[in-house]
Amino acid sequence: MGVTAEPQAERNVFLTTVDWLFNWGRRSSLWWLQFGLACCAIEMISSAMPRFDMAERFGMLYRASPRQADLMFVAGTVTKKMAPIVRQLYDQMADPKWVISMGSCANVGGPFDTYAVVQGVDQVIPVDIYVPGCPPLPESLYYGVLELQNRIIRYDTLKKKHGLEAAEAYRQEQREAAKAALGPRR
Amino acid sequence: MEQQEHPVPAPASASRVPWQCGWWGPTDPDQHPAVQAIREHFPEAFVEATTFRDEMTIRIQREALRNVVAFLRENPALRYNHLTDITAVDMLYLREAPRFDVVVQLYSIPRRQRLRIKCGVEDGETVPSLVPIFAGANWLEREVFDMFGIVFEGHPDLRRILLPEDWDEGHPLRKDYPLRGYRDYVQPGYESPVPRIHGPLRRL
Amino acid sequence: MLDFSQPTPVVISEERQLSETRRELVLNMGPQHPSTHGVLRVRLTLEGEVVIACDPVIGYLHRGVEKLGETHRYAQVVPWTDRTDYVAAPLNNLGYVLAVEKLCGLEVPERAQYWRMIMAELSRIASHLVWLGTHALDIGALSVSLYTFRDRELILDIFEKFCGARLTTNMMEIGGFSREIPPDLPDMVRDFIRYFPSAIRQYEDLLTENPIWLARTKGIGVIEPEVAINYGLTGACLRGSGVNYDVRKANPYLLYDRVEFDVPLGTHGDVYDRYLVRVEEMRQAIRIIEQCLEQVPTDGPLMAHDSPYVIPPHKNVMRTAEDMQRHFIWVIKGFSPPKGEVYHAIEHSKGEQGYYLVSDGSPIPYRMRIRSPDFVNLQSLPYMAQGAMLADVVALIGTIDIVLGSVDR
Repeated sequence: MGVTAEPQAERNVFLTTVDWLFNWGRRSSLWWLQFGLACCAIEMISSAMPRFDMAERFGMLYRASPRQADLMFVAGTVTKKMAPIVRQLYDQMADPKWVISMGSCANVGGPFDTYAVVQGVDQVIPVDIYVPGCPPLPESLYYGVLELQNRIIRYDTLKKKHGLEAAEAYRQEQREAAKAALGPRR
Repeated sequence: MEQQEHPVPAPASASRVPWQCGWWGPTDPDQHPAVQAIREHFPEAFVEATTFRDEMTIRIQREALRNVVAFLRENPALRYNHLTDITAVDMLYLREAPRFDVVVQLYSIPRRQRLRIKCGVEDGETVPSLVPIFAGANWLEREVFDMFGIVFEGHPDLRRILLPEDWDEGHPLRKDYPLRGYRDYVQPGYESPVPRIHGPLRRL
Repeated sequence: MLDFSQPTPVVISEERQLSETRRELVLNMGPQHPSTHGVLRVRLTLEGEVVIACDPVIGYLHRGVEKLGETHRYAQVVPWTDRTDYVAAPLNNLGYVLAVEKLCGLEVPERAQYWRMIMAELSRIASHLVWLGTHALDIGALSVSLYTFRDRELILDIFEKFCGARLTTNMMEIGGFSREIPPDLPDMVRDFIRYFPSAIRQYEDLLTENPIWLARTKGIGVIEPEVAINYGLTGACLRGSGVNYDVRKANPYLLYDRVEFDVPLGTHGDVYDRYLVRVEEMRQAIRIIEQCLEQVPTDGPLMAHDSPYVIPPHKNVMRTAEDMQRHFIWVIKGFSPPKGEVYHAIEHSKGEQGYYLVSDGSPIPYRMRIRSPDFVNLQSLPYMAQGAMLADVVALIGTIDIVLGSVDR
């Protein structure tokens, strides 16, 4: 992200306000898929419960069906038996979708370097945010969700769909067309 | 019926080690009722009876396993009516033959006593299944088959339980199976942007 | 002219004939499901709404803990035992540590044993709170889950104070506890047990005489006592059917014979009885903790440091050459228990959890087998689900109280 992030953000936030509006809507009502695998699932549930209350405060609601969710917390160990199903669930989710890999097992396989465990869920699906911990405290999970919200506000639909060059070319075209429509500077 | 006799809790003792003596019966094999009964009724199947830390282990021939366990359950003086566990140990590093030990842990609810029955099984031999006696043996034997490859004859539905049913890489809890397994998982059609690097040290 | 004197012959097409004989539907209640308490897959064969056959498929969380137990030293295995039954992690630790201590023939100081009992009972309450919350959530009582998790946070605070972690605690060590008990911990526990009975009353007010709860749980999933014993069930599944088998009473370990508590038994063996049994177990656990707090010596050793199998005290490690040597060898090489095999069982919140350890004299266990209660208890699901409605399957999975980490290991 680094160097290209700031100009991109500028373009998004100041010129494409509609994009910004949509992203604000997306990050403020992330619906997560009820998908807990192992111990991290208990911490995920705890973070949605009264003391931490991640759910209602952030506008997040859990949905049972992947078709209705846009965020997937992979909370727990992904085994080789479960991996095709994780992939299937990810494919069933509609764009735009994000994945938070929660806990060491989902990040890198965790303490289980064995015959039956996939060493990280990023071998199976693309991951946006990695939250470390075994299990991560609910506060760490919050931090991960807030980081994801910062990413979402910079989400560029055009870039996602058509690639970086096509999106930049399109925007350059639009800028020139707007300049031409305004007329020459006085 | 068994549960009508509420087992009397053990008496409180002033000081003792954290593990209680007396859960397993007399430590001397000649005085243990189960050992005596098996010696009497199954003399050719009985191999030996050992004790370690108050635990009684009886080793028998594998063909007699079902009969011995049924006898232990039906005998009114013994009544080992609760099947606690069926498991196996791969004795590859400890002795030449037989390779596996199938271990059955039994418990008598009215008499509050445990017992362990062992039988040696060579690679490729079958063990009589305990499913006709205890319905709870079903998944335990499936797990032993899954992890060790020991076939239980008479089992209604012997297939893999913990690993995927089409797992073709062998039986993991055998001693010659590496901890990390043989193959990594590759998601078909997806190339992960994060490469997985294994360190040079492959344990076991 | 149409002839209405004869009835019109009805011709059933071939497709319709086939579909009338094929009345069964195989429904997959997949690994991702809100009510399966983790990654459990149940293949149901339904005829309409009635379940004819049920085949649970497990193994989606099989992580190879038993194989890890064969490749690491005795003390290194303790964190992996936490992660088998992750809602009651201290109880798993306790089972493993007691088995290793039996193998070594260790005697642990009384103060450590009392604190082990207190932590074990708190862990049992925490596990039952998760069970009650998720079970009620599945059946439809959403508020109960909020209340139980709220109270569970108080227990997790106590764990965090004691050992630093909320969930996967790694609390029990071979020989006792190497860290000193924080001075305000007994008061924290006392405050909790003073508050908690009112919380149990809150849950009971919501559920026990609730007609919806009764309609959904009474008469569902009946297991007769002989069948329960035959399946090898333990824990509340067995006691709900009336069989009096609690490892703490039958074969007491730690100091359970010095405290007085009752073992609740059910009568009908249905979901409602198992619910009552577990709620009463929470009350009895409070009773045990109260008595332990009265009886526990306020000072004294917490670890059997003299034994060669136990790590030496931390404060001596930097001061005495002998202890530094012992510590180094204990950590790097490990201790070598005598050759032999032990099976030690504890009363886990789900049932009887046992550890079968085979030692060949080396610092690494030759075989570590975890006899997990929910693996055996889950076998009764096909029996209970026979003839039940589809909506009851959810209640049945909840009543067995499974945690997939323990089922699959």
